[in-house]
Amino acid sequence: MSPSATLPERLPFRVTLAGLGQRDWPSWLGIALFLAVFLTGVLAPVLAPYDPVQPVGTPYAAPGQFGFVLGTDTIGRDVLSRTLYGIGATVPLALAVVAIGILCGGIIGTVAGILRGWVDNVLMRVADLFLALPVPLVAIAIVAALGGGTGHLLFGISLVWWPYFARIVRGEVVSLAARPHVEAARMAGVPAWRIALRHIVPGIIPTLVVLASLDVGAATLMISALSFLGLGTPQPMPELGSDAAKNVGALLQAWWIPVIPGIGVFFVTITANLAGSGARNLLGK
Amino acid sequence: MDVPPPFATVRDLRVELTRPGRDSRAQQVLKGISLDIRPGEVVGLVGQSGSGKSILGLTLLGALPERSRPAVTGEVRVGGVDVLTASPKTMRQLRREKLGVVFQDPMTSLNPTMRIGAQMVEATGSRQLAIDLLARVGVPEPAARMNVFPHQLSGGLRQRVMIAMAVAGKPALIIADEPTTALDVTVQKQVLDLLAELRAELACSVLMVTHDLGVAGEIADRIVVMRDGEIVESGGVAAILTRPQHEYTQRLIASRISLESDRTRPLPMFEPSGEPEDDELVERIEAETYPVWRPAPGAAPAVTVRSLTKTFAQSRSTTLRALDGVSFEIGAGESVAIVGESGSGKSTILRIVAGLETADRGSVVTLAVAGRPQMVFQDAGASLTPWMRVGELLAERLSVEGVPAREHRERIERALDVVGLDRSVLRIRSRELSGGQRQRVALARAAIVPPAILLCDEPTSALDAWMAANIINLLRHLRHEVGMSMMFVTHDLSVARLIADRILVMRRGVIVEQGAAEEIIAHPREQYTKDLVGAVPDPVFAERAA
Amino acid sequence: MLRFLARRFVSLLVVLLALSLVLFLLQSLSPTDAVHMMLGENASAAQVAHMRHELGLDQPLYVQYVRYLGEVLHGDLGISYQTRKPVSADLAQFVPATLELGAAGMVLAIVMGTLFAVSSLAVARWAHLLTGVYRNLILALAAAPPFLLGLLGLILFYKEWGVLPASGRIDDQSFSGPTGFMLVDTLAAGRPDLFGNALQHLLLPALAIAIGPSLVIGRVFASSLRGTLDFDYVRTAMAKGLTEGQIVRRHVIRNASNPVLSLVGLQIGAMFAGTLVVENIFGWPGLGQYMSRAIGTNDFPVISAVTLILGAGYVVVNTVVEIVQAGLDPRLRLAA
Repeated sequence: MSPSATLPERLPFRVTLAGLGQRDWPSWLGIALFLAVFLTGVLAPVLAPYDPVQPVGTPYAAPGQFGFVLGTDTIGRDVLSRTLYGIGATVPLALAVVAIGILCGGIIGTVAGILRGWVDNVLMRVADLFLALPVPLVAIAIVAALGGGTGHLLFGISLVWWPYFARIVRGEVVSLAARPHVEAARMAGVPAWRIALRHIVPGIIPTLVVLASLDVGAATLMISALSFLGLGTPQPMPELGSDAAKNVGALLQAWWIPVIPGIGVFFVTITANLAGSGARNLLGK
Repeated sequence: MDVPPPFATVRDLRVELTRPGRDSRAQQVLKGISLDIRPGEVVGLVGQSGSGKSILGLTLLGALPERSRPAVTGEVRVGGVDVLTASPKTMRQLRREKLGVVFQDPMTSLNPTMRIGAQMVEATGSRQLAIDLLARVGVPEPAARMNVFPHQLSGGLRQRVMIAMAVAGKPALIIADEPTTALDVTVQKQVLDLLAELRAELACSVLMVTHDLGVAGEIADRIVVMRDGEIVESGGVAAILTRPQHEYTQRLIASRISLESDRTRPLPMFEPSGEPEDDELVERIEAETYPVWRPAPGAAPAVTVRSLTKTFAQSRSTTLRALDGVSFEIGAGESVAIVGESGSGKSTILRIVAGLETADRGSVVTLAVAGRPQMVFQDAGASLTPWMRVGELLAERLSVEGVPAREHRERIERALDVVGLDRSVLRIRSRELSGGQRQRVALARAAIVPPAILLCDEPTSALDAWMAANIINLLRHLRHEVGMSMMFVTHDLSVARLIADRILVMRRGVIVEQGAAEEIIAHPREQYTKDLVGAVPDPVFAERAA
Repeated sequence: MLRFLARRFVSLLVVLLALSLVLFLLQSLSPTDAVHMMLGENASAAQVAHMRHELGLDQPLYVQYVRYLGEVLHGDLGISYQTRKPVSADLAQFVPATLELGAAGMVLAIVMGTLFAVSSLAVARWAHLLTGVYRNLILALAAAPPFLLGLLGLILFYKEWGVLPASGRIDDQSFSGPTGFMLVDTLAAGRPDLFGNALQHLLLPALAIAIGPSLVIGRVFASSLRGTLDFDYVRTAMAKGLTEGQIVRRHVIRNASNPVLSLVGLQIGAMFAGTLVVENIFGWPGLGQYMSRAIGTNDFPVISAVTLILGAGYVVVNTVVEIVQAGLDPRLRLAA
């Protein structure tokens, strides 16, 4: 008998501190960058040099001019401050969309995958209907019907976001439930609720984490698009998408006014994507 | 005597592969291989998974996966072509005119979106030739089969199509990489016979890559044994099988389960790395002998199965009768093997007795005084929930059977002793155990509350020979220690004979023959049973029987 | 195959019904009430009640929905609160512009996606040390919102280099044609100069919406190609002595393209959303500008109609994609 001779087929599941070692530093770097962007946004009230809503200088000041690092906009508000506040508005919203999506989708998918039968049928038909529709357009219509604003934005996007998660989680649950270890638990006489909670659900958590982290970037892009179309917080509150949209006309004489909020979106998205692929690598998916 | 020059020569071949991925490191897969294949010779290349045998086959073909960035040194000459330096055009010509290939899984080796005919014509050049060839390899209604897609054929037929394509160019060398591993035993036998026939017809050489010494012995003239990228021994079939020189080959042959293995003694155990054994359980098992089982007078049967019927819907209109009124009993402490090919209904019975499936009609009664039936799965290790600790898994089984918590510790420790595991594994998550440890934990869980019956679902079929020997020994040890009844489902008569007192042979949902294990194998009455016995690749047995 | 087609057709109808139901429900749940929008804030209660009756809003929801469906099927998409004109008349004017942009974006996305896929395979094969750099480059591009790409494109190609126009569909404002598709109309009118001009106008906005989807397509295409190349049947084809070209044409492309096709269908949704945004930057007289104005004035009939039209287009295209896929892969015909 030779336990040592077979390769232990490890299922990387827990992120251990060992991962912090030399091997995976790019993955951790991605996560750290996203956290930095997140903190920058959240700490905007502390970090921003000026009030984002009040004009504080000459309009159309170029970046660096009069001490405005990123210049001023058409009515003399500080672009840096507005962008920081904008990031602060966008990142938590994107995280919330994904969190709500993953929670609802995760629960619905798990319930469908475990109960099967008509519950599964009904839930998945609904999810499939949503998935058959063009998600961004439906989100736009929902938010427009409700009348814009942060809360409605969150509601509208989350409403179209969960079916993805539900589908994937359900597939994962069904495939886990068909694994020998679940049949073995059934044969061992383990009650159904305990099989679900102890033998199935822990197995989908890595997938959920990876899915969620890979989706923050996509949620950011969607939020910025809706905000660009005027469905976010109404002006004069700073928001990346609408700041860009409102100042498109200023592009040719003062490029920084619409472009810098766009670069803000870019930063949030790219660091979120890096963090997402970092999380995926660390969890070995 | 005039010896013809070899058709293929390999000299000091070294291959390094870098598997794509983040932390990829080059790995030496072949470490200085030298080998000749003479015209008309069948070489059986035998090794466990990971020994590099398939890579050797791909190197001869000049088809190493580019993604793995192969670094190759040495010399490989096939049919007068230097494979390592030849131009793509020369290689194409070589493959077209002199080489044929058969891969393991005929589902993936045929293009799923292309009709059989089109794929055949690529190899033959003409439609008529393709039809003739399909007829030759035993595909019924070849002209009609030209128009179907691969997924519409059975596995055996697909492999025949694959063989037809391989021999289309009248090759001088056929490279067959585990061509029968994915097939049923009787189909395996037919495919091997077909290969042997074609080889005689074409007078070509065959490189038969396989993990199964029996398969190699059945068809090869010469056997080459590989381990860890090196050849440990080569020689004529008879010499290798009866007088192996190298220790590794000796152990490989000793641990091979055959129709002649000793039923009263455990199989010899070893680990392929050749490290010394220091396991206390191994010593205990090796000292065991297994007496012939006798029914205890007056004891109630462990399982009584009455007229089980089960029908599955295959599609909207067709149904499959998996079980058609099956009845049998398994005595207390008896071990019964149910043998048959895939689709015979053997696994359905197992799943119904296990309670994982319900029968349409009929009844299953198990002994009420014992624990509920337990199962050893095809991959025993996979039956442990990867993120749960061993202790929790075992305790869970105890609380379900109503064992009071204060007895848990003692029962768990006793179960660990039976399978020879240290207490320290209790706190380890099962994904962190080695394959061998997982097998043992799975068995410990199945037996910690002695079940009315232990159900085994082909627990050896997915394993290398030495792992298969391990699990069979463990099962017999468990039965020896705990004295359970067993029901063992397998397609392999040699395994059934070893583990069972009685064998039931199933075909298309009915039991066609049953009897004492030795008796069934020595004197099968039904043709189907005879086919099954004949299909066990067992060259030594075959020779003696002849 | 016939049964497959029938099933696809039924599920197409179900999805379209669902889309219309969603939009109808949004309309009736919307806090911006149609009656108030039409009568203004100062309408008397009697006026409101009269209007509600007039519009059938006092009837049960399902009656209203059936009526709404009937109207939609007759091409009546409601009256814009803002312009008081039938929405369908406005749509006839704006739809061709958006379709042209969307189609150009799709073509660009597929072409660029294929290039990305092939080039990333080439990089992996001949310059694997660069794969990391290449991957990060693509990751970065994929993080840029379409409006940022549009803005940067304008700065570079219009302001700095002056090689492409900034806004509109064509310089010659007087030109118009029967189909509303500039590329088609200019050619039909025998004006290659105007065709070139329209193409120039189209290029930047189409690029801005195509880059994101093209990266997604490229990534999936590349991994699908890689996966297909690993299959034994590719080795089988090689063993038959086929040339690389024959192997790729007969055995790889067809099998690798199926996942890509479904993705192309799905990306059309992102493409439409991109169009709505980007039109506002390039002064493109299409549904995007129309929609933006409607959002600004809470003109829900317009928003609903635009969503319905684009959504229906999306659903139909995806059904076509599924049928094409089944044509390519016999196994899919059975599965459905």
